Amino acid sequence: MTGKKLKDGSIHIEMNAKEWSLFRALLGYYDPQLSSANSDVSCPIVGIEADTSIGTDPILEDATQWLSDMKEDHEKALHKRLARWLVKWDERKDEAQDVGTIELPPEEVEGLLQILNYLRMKHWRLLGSPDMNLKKSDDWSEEQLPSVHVMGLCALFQSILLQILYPPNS
Amino acid sequence: MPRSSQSQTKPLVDPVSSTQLEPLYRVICWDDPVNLMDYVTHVFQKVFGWSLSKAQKHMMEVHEEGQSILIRDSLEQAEHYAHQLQCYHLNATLHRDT
Repeated sequence: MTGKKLKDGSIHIEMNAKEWSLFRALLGYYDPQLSSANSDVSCPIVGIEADTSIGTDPILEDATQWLSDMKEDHEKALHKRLARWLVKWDERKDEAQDVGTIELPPEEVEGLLQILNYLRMKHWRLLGSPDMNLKKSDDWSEEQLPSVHVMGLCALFQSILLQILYPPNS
Repeated sequence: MPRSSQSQTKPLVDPVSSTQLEPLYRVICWDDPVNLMDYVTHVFQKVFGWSLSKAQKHMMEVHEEGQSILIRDSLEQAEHYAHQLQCYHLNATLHRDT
């Protein structure tokens, strides 16, 4: 996989057939309607003392509900954008040279990063929200392995995108 | 123009702008074991327009201390920032400033 950031901030990535099929399959997992109910990121992580005013202040309660609704709308809009990208990228795939090409303007790069991160979060929750640093490869059951792989692949593609956005020598 | 007309229109108490009366809200980002550190740094830069070093400072604060107060602002602005952070799936919450 090779990629570069263009002067206008957009990115251009080329993938070989295997990378492309992995990337394509990965994005196929994105379905915000499936997991919006269990993706409450507004709750502090267990173990950190929460601000109890959240539950008692009506202004904050309204704001928290509004944020939740907005987030759900945002994820549905991203889903539509993703469908459009996939059609466009599939059209551009060069079967003869076995190369897939992605071109995204700056604002859409953010969308792709959010989708990849959403997938990581979703599959992390499916795994029971474990501390990934404490887990070894033998700890996972066969049923859990697909989620572990999705998380790993999303992290890989996220890191590649971030390296393109922030080249090491910049 | 007579001087008396000025005194009639002048308020007895100095006006206080509505923004001064508005309570401030904090946007806090909480640590989680799943978001990549580089990703969090990127999000802070994008959402707040911060420099790399400032974004990294707050990212490390989240990572090492479990949370970082990212900004204090009006409810409307704080909601805006919290929404942006949540779109990136960061664990961000709103709190009334005390």
